[in-house]
Amino acid sequence: MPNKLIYILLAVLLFLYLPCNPALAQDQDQEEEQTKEQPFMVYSLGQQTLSLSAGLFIPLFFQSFDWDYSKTNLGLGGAGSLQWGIHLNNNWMVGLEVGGMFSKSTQENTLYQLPITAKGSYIIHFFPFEFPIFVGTGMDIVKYTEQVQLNWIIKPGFSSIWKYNINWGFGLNVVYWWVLQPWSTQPDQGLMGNFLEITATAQYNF
Amino acid sequence: MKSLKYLFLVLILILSMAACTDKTLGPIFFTLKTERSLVADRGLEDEMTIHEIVKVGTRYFAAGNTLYTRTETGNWTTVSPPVSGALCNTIEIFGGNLYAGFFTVGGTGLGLYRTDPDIIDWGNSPIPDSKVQNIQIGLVKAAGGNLYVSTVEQNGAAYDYYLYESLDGDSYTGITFDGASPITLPIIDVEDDTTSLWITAGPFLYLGTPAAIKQGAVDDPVGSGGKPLGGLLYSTILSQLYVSGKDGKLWMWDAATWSSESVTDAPSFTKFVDLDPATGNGDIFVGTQDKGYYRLIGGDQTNYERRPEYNISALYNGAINSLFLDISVTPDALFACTYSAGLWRADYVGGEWLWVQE
Repeated sequence: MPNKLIYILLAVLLFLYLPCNPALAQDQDQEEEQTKEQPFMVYSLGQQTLSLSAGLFIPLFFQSFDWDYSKTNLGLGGAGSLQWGIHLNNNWMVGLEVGGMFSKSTQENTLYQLPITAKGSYIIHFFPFEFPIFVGTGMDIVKYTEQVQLNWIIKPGFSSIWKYNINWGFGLNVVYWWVLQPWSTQPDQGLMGNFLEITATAQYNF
Repeated sequence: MKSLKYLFLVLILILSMAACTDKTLGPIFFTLKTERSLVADRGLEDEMTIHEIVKVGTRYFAAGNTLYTRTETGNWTTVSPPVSGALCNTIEIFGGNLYAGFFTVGGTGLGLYRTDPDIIDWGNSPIPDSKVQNIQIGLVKAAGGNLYVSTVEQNGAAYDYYLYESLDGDSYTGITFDGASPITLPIIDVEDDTTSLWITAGPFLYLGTPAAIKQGAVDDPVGSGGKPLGGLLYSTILSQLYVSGKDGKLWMWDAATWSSESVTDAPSFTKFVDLDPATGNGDIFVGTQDKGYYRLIGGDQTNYERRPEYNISALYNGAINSLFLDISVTPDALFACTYSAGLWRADYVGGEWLWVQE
């Protein structure tokens, strides 16, 4: 290999390394300090996280309150969410999430859901990876053709995040949507919606 | 105390969710669970207008300007008209023959034609009576063993409407209205229970016998004039006569007294269909010009509900020209002929009418 090419490659590597170096150095320093007290200390009280997610929405089944199961008659859809969280310590985070989904029905009508949930997460660290396990709950605005309804939603799930640097992380969410739609006037028509969200996520810590 | 506060807040949240939900249209998940495909493409355009549908043997005929036909299991195909390019707006089966009123694209009436429905040949059995030839046909309907044909003739800026009765399909006898014929009001519907004859024309109901038809003494607007009437039905099951109005009124005559009902939202009613008591629970359906159809539960015009489900929007907000029930197939089939929303068929399955668009 010609020397010139080696120099160019070295220069490129050095150039790519430079922006990472302070973060890594900081990480290293922090890590060294933390190993004395607590391993993998990434977050502390007051740090915040913004996450943007987008991906697939998979309708699973409806379940009656008598435990009967039925098809949703929905196709594969799309889902997305914006989440803000504040860290309580290295492992615990609380936050708010505004999500949305769409999916086409058998009759080519579109079902929309917009859940607004409060969320609590426990983050398991395996540097450079994080595995938050979380549950969110709140209200879900459900719209289908002319009908709009407000329901209660519970969203348990987990994520796998690769920490690109101290600020940015990228990964995948797997979230179960459990939407309760009881119907007081005709209780036998009340159903619970069971759906799955699989989304790619980008998170920013500050 | 703090936990009580939180409990109270959660309770408020749940109650607000319940309060924000409109319960009139039913739960969304249940709607989705019971949803079925609305497409059963039998070859008709989704946006076309169908005026009427009839059946003879195992073959259906549909008048949608073009005349169509299909077998019970087949797809719709066009039927050649008696004159090239002629259009068809009204059809009926009488004496085993198919009767159809044709007109030209320019609106000139060609008259009433008939054919053997199995071998379409409009020239094979021409109707000899000139009263129904070369004229616009407004209505052709079999009732009480007779064939009734309404014709329309332009008279200056106005139109004259005639009604004829035929016992054999060959010769036609004019019906007079309080001694007058023609009348200047469009003849909308005819019913005949073999002893009485009822006719709706414009805002009036006429009743009597073919020899002596009088204007009916029904509540306003039937008696005094107002919005046109829609349809007529004599239910042989309930022995009751029903009249619909385009101002949202429904009348019922039980052979002794008239009763009327002003339906909520004042739908413009069109034609009726009497359902098979075995499958329809004695229900009567009546079409509208913009709100699908209404179900008169057990034939009670004061106990009604708008149908079908709201999410079948083309029908829910549809204009229904006429309804046709076929109880010779399994399951029973109900057809809805619409204005600009094609032909719909409902199969009676599991106590429900399940609609698909043909």
